[in-house]
Amino acid sequence: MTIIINALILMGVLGLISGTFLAFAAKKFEVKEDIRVAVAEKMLPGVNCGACGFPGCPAFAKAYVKGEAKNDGCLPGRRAGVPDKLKKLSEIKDDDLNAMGEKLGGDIQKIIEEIMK
Amino acid sequence: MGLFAIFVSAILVNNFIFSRFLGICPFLGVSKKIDSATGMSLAVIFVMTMAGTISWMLNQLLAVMGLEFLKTIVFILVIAVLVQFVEFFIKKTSPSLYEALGIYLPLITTNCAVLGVALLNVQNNYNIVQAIVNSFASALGFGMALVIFAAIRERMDNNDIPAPFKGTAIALITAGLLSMAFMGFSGLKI
Repeated sequence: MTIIINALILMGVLGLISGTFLAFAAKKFEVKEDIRVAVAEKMLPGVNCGACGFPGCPAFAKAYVKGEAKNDGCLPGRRAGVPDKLKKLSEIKDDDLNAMGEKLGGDIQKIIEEIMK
Repeated sequence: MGLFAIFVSAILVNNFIFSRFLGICPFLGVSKKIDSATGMSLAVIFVMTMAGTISWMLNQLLAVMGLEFLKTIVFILVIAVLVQFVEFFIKKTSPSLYEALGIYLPLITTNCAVLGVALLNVQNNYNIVQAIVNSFASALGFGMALVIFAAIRERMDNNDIPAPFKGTAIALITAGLLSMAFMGFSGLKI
């Protein structure tokens, strides 16, 4: 019994320490990404299944913005309307998107709602 | 065993790639260009040295608590955290290197050489200094192998290689020849 409790405590503490450390590191080494990529990534289901042929959703979003991937490339997102969302994102001009981002304070979810209106 | 013996043995005699055959995935994947090979080597040196040191300390803690069976999962956790940290760092400081390393950067997590060095430190009953030296030297050996191989592959691009051998085939043959060359170190007495 003590072994189970010890193991639980140890793993819990280790997980907490690592998580806190990484959270701080992520804040400290934050990289400002292209807002279009960030929006495209948020539109995807985020399951990182790799069915699109890219290593994970962030890579697919980047490739889509670069024009290397088609808007219906995301298999799990097809029924959820991801192709439509991505298409609408492409129709917006850079300036409009940046203005939208500034107006909404960089809240990606709100930007997506604004785009879908 | 003296520190110098551990150092030389980890780099040359028991080189992770050429005599233990661990970590072959990044060895073949990131060795196309010497620049990305150097970047990868530095990332691996950092991760391996830190992982070897921290995992040694955690192993002492595990031994005190009687939880040696958690060794593997704890070591993997440490490695994963370090790799994630290196990823943040490289993404911030050198986006071009981040692009060049691509998927192989997060894959350091599953690089068996890193877990291998952590487990070998424990298996050989090294003390803390020996563990640090062994981890660092092993990583150095790994990096050296990677850079040597990348240099050879860059040169091979300029040569006229018969069509059936192009690409991975000639790379694997070269790796085999290099490994045989490193067998020459196996009789080294220090």
